[in-house]
Amino acid sequence: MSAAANVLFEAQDLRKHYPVPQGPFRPKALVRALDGVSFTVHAGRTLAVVGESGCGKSTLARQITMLEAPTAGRMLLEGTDLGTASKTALEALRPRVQMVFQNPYASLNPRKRVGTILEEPLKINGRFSATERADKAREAMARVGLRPEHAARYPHMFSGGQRQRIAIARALMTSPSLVVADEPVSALDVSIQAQVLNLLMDLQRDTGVAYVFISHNLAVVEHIADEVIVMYLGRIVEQGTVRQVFDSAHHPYTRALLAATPRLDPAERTVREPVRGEPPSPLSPPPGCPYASRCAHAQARCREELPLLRDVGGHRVACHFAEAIG
Amino acid sequence: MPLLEVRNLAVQFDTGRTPLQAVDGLDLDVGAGEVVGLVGESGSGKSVASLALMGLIDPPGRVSADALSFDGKDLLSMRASKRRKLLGRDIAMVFQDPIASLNPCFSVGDQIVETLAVHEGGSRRALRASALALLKQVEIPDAERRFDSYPHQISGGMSQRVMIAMAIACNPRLLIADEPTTALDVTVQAQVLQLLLRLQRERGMALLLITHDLAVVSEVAQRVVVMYAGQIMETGTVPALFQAPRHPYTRALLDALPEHNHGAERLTSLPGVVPGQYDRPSGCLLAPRCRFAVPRCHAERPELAGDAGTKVRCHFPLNPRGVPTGHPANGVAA
Repeated sequence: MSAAANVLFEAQDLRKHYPVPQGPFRPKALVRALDGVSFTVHAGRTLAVVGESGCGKSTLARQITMLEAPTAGRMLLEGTDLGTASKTALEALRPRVQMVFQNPYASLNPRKRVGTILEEPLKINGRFSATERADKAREAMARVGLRPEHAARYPHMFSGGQRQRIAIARALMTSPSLVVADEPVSALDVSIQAQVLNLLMDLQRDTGVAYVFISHNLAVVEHIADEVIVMYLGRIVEQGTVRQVFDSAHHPYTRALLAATPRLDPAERTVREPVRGEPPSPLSPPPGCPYASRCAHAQARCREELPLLRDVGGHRVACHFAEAIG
Repeated sequence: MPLLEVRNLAVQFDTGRTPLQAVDGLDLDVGAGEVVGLVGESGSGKSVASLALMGLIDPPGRVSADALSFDGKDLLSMRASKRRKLLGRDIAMVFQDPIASLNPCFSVGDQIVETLAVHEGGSRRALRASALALLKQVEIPDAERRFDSYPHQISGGMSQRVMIAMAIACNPRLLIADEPTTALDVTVQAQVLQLLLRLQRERGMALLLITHDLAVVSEVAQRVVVMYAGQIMETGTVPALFQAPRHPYTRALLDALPEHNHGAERLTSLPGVVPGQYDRPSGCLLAPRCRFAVPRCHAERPELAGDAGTKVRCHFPLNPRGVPTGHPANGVAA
């Protein structure tokens, strides 16, 4: 990528392992929810994270937003190492990363007025008077296309799309440089989804915020993302720009995801190579390539040796036979 | 004569200040062995309509219809006991959330056996054998072992396969699938859709697929019905309806999809939201959100007009070039 100056966030060999009790008198098993994930987010750009349930997408979000500490690996935000930073340095950095959750019906407190919800991040992180906070909350509502005079209303008085706008406004209250959006449009209808995606892109253009956009909807990802990482069982299997991943995917899993996505245009429908089975249990991942059990191209080597991310045709792919596949 | 014939189906809930008309004048035909897609956004009434067909609307909900017949038999005048035997056997349903639909207290095998015992009967051993065969038909690996698994021990995709096995247990002629793949990952969605279509073909079963995913419908259905706020907006055949939608709502839904906006900065979005219980317009339901709306649209609700297969509810239906026909703005331009 270009100059290091515009690198906003960097993850290096990030790992998060959760011990899982297996019952009394039995040793705890280890779920490797993230197993050596490295990527960078550039200022003002969008990195999309795609993959099926259980691939570690949401665990990744919890590490980036500092809700959990990773088991191993380094995270750098605006040049500061989050693992070694002082308490005061972390306090200053936390407002710089905010989050938008999937379900706007669950992420807004039903007992608080929208104005109060929006002011809360400022109360915690800023030094503003009550009038300044109220002004900023009303400004934020106008910015996401809501009527500022509705600040006194409660979340239940808004529709799903409007609630997601409130959640986005709340995330932007502290003027973050990075917003982690975990499936922000999955709970919304098609027509509302388009409105919210447009809003996210407008806000990025106006404020220069970067997004880590977590989604399983490839059509949405193709529209909004600059770069894409595809995850499978806690590892990155393919990583590149949106055009590299969508136009010349090399990993069989990425290709299967693209082929499985229903298309309106019959010309865009690819020959179906249906993925067999479901992802293996993260409690007992197979040795070798985690995708081997479902892969049509799997050979003996795949079941023994874990493929590492390497450069194939300009972007990064973790597959022994990436060149042979396409 | 169609397998399922529904005329003027209405479902009303007497709650709040004004009753909510969840489904308003729905006409629907499903032929034997046909795949029909029913699409619409949340709150359009598609799920309520399917529950009404299955007799699953409880008071305070009220269901009325001019005709509701299945295979020539009138479901409305039928005795409740007789109707109960038909539903679940000849018309079966698969629900959206398989994990919530299965009983967590019984093994999946027992739940399939229960369906068979109610409708078909037979010895315990014979029932178990048929249930096992069904599990194999829906491609559950290691069916013997899975028979005794409880719902929490199997994945979402597996649960939906079990639900499908239960639904097809008594060889239904019509399968209603309400958002059968919405809760599933995209690779598993593709597997479950292929399974449904294979069963539909092999058994000559009719399939009514209810979904909000237009791309899924365009891939699997032969005919499609588009609902909005309780009413049908447009019906047509696939792919004609997707290539040249005649209702501005269908057009807007298609335009809002990211895959129709390749290279565009912004998505074409439909402003506003689906009208709720208290703000249903008296004219065309879409009028407040429609970019072609004129005073007539706000004043007068259009009828669903057209010939048997392709109908549209719009004063100024779009022509194949996407221009509303008979619209006042055209006259001025010309």
